[in-house]
Amino acid sequence: MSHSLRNHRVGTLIKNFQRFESTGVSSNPKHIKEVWSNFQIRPTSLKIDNTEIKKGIFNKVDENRGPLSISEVAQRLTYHSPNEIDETFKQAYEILQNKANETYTRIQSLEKKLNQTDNELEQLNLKNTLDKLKIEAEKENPEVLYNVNYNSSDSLDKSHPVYRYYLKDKWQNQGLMLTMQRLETLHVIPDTLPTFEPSVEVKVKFPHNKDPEFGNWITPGDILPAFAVEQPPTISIQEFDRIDGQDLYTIVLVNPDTPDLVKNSFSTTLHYGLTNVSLNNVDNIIGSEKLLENQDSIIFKPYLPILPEKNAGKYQRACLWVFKQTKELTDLSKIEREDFNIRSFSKLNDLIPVGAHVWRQHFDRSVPSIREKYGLGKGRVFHRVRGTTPVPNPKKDKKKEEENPKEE
Amino acid sequence: MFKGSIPVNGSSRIISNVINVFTRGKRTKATNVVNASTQKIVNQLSALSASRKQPKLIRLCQEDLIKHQTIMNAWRVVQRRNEQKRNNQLKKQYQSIVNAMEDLKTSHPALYKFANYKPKDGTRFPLDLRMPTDFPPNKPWVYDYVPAETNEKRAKQ
Repeated sequence: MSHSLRNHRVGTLIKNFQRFESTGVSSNPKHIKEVWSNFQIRPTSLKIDNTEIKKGIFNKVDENRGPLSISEVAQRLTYHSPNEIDETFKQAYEILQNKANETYTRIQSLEKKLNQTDNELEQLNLKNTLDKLKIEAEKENPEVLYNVNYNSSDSLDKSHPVYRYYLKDKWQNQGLMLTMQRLETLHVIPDTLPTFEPSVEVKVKFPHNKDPEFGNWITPGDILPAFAVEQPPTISIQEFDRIDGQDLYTIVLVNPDTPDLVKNSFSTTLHYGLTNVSLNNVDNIIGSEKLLENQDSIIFKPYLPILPEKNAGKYQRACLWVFKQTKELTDLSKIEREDFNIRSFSKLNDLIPVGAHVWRQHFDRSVPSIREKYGLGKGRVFHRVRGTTPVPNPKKDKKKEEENPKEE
Repeated sequence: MFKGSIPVNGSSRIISNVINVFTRGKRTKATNVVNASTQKIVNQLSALSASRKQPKLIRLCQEDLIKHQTIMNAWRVVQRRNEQKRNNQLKKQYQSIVNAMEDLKTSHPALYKFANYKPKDGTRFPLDLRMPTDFPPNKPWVYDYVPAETNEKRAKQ
């Protein structure tokens, strides 16, 4: 497109905006004005923290210095903004802000209504509509857009519905699909639970690792060495719907690939069990702090890393399941680690699976030392080729031997 | 470098619509029938490489990308409101004509009849004439066309 034509187009765009401005918006004195710069009725988390970047968006990008977001100096100095983008942006901002002003007037009237009613059902309905309106009012705010697109998701304020809306969108477009693909290709579904409908984002990391490869949030399906999973993981459970108060969760880590010699098959072992963990939208990380604070009340089976013995299959799957509780649970500590049946466990306790994560492990040279630390003994070494016949139960044979010892 | 990238909307939306319609799988004529114009676009797209069908990336710095996104959002709002306004206007016009005719029906039936009179002498612009367009029609010629008048004559005979 030639320059003159482009200028002409920009000109018509501005004219159209102006025409709209002159007719479309009514100025009601009761209405809230300039709501996007009003931080008395809105949380400050809707602001861009970096003042220089904010200047670059709301005023012009400095011609001599270039945009701050480009880190490379040569590139920054040769950068040119499109023609008249700032003038057009100002008008666009005004139009969108006027729309938000109207929405916020509605929000304020609904909030008044919410304070007056005592009916619980009505309160719930009002809160839901308020959330929707807040999303509508802030969705197109350039400051929110900047924070969502260019800040890390950990730093966003999850108590505000608009950030949860964008995070859910992001998760549904990538994280959710990736997790489900890994769960299905690794047959976590249906080897542990038949299937489920994910509604929370589950992230796992092992913060005792100094190497960022193992210390950051791990991708579902990763193969991790034994030293990387030595200490209990930090689990983040992000709810996207509003939680009033606290919700209770149960988390279990199971290994469905424990070799079962008697059946010449595999059994499921419980490696970690947490219950009655109360979380909400903001307080959503189960880290060492939370574990130390209420150790006795939430841990029903302490963490035991999965430490595969030599030649025990190609890899073993560590399946982490997150359940939402329908009631508070008691007396789970009697559950045995061996032959854990996760299906009957979830059915018995009325647990609803809401999220899952998976990683894999196999035997490596760090396994023996960690087995020693946890007092698990040396560990068996299997033959490289799996046999076709079941092996008789070694414990039973021992008992027989004790009853009638061999003559030597 | 330029971390952010926003797809340009216009043409990519049409392409994505077509891609939604076009599904590769078991061919069953009854379910997989698309209209001629869509089929034409599908054929054209099948000749393009995948990279060409990707939405174009806008290479701008983060600040300008946010500005661009905001302008696009505002433009959408403006267009939607204008459309709404036009539709409301048209609805009102139509309703007022309906009201006027109803009024005429009760107050002056003869005039109402005269207002609805359609002369068949060919003095009026023939409504079945095709509107002039830039491109020829999908069905260029109707061979067995019979004008309405002769139809009536035949019926009388």
